[in-house]
Amino acid sequence: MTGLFNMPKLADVQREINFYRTPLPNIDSNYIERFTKIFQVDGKVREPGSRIVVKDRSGELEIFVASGSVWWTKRTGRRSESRRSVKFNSEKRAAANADSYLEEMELSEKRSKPISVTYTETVIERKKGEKTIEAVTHQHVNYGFSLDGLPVWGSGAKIQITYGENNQIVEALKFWRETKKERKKLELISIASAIELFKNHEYFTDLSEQTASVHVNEINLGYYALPPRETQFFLTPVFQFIGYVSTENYENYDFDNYVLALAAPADDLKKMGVPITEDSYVI
Amino acid sequence: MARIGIEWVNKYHGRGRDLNNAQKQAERFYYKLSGVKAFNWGDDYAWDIDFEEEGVGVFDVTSWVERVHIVLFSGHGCPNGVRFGVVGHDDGELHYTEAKWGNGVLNWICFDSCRVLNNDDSGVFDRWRNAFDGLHIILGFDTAANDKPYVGRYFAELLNDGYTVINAWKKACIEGEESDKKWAYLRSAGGSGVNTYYDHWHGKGWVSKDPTNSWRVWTRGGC
Repeated sequence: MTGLFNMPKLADVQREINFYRTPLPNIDSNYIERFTKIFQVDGKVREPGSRIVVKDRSGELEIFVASGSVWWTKRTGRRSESRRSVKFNSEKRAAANADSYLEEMELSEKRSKPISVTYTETVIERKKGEKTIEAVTHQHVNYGFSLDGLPVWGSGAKIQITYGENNQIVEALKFWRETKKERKKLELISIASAIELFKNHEYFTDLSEQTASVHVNEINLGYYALPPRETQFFLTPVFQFIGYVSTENYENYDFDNYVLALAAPADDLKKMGVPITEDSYVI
Repeated sequence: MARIGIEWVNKYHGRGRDLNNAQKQAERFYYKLSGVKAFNWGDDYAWDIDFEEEGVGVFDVTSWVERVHIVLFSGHGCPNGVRFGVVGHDDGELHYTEAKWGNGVLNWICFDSCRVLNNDDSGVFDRWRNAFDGLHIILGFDTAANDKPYVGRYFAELLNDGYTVINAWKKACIEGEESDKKWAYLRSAGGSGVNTYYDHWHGKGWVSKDPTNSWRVWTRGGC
């Protein structure tokens, strides 16, 4: 199978990593009240499954029970997309304003920083062949997290501040779990072992080296945070593989996959109170 | 009561890289969403003709997707359509030219696949305009989508909780994907009593009449 894979040349990296537990949050009435006050949402508290939802005429607040993450959305009552482009602030100013807002709302996090600005765009086709109506309706400032200089991947590690009409903030989410750093470090597998795990995964067993190729452009070490609705007992150390697969039929299919980077067997991890479930990492 | 169908492909038999989570993604949606579970075709039993206009007449009633109100497909995709693991029943590809949806009961079709609704070339309307034949909305991604098992379940939970179809899809994608991905939808509009933007899952709120497809709206946003 070695002919199938094109791997970057890499020096070995650290063999230990800091151990961050993510204790389950205590979502009691005080926790809920703290955020209803911050976002000024005053309504009946509902608990549809894995979220607590408080909604009034002005907005909706969601608190994720498994992680303590929060998501506030201003209610607009819109029954269709906006057709008017908003003149947004520069991306630099939008990020600076988002920083101030997070500070004011007691949501700022020193381990996060803005990594991108994205937009919601709408295009309306009134009639085939006619000029379309195009509108940029929202601007999103996206934050990523890092710990000890290592990135934290996964949707459970992001903050997003959204601006709408008149550059008003209309949505704010913080997906993050509080972490507790342990004194003990976790032992890592080598990059060579991670590459072997990647190559031997059933993803690739049906690919022929005569007709297919797997190009890995980058291998990075970091942590993985599950989505806010999922239970996770620690930030999972992983190797990230970024690249693309080409076959006779499908060219250049991008992937970013993660290989568990821990040397300890699953039994030991469970004994340490940090079980690895099937969904804890992909591949 | 509304009916639900899913198709998913993890095994591509060397035609493409296998996937790990298409089955979980689709089945968690299927079993979580309230409604009648009508079909669940996976791997070698998921066929392109189940989605295609050419499939009409192959079965006794109509193509499989027209038997349900919502269909979710999880597997490989591209701006021209989605890809299946077997070629024995047609060519293993659902191409946009083979799509004409909504002439049965189908209201919404959801592609948990890469780039089906990409519009970097401004061609999304030309590709998918004729797929609307009473269909309300195509939901999918403008960018690549991750091979993860979360978005399908979140989408179902939010539909059950009464969010509009569009808002449920958007929220599920934001919750389950990283910020470098972009959710997207393409909806059909036009006609009296029609507002597909405000569609809810059946039994959970207002549902539009079938649109005449006289105009269309495409939207994408960051996850």
